Amino acid sequence: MASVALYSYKKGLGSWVLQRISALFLIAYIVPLLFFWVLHAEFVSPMVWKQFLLSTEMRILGILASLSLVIHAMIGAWVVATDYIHIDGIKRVTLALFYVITVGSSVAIIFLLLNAQ
Amino acid sequence: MVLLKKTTDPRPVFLNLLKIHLPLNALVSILHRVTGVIMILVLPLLVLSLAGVIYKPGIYRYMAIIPNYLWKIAIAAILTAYMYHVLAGIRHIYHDFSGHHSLEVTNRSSIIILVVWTVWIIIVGSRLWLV
Repeated sequence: MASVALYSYKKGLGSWVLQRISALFLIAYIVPLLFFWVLHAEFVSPMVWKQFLLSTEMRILGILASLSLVIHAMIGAWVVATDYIHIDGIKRVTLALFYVITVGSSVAIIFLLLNAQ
Repeated sequence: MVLLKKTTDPRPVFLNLLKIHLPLNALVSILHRVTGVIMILVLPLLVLSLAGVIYKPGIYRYMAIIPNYLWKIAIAAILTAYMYHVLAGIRHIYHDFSGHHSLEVTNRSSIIILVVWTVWIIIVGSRLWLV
């Protein structure tokens, strides 16, 4: 089991702390975003979304949240997969899939937020 | 399985998941995991919509290929899953740091987050279907 572990049981406390700190950064990005949407009285057009998401504050929060996402989702996927999947091969493949989705999405978001005009 | 064969206990192992009665706390906890997994799986869709908004705002016209009500259901599902995960996460942190682990307290916090979550579902629903 330890061979598949990104964060082995010996680093349990470390990942426990990382999981909670990264959660705060994810809340810091998505809660303003949800409030922006809920408090808009009418349909939010793509241009308005673009202006909001590419403002300096939201870019910074977005990059921090994307980095936190890698930590948070990878620890979460590892915890869930190692709890429920007991066949080593399936566990490896499932975890690899989840890691690829997470890292790929995070890199894509950071690329978009850094490069978009 | 090896353990099962060696034991002399003749009782059958009964693991029909539909017939296991989960206590409220267990349900709240398992939903936290389920919503977490769901959100990882929808991440590529969120990245695509971010790319669409940033580079091709006109892409919204092509979204009509999928009927409006299906988009709304998908958005509602993602936003309710996210808010559930946040609320249950805050509940976990509260119990981690407060040291309250009794059944009474954890049951109460379960009910509180379910009530707040219901309010959020109503807000999302009215924002999507009434505005």
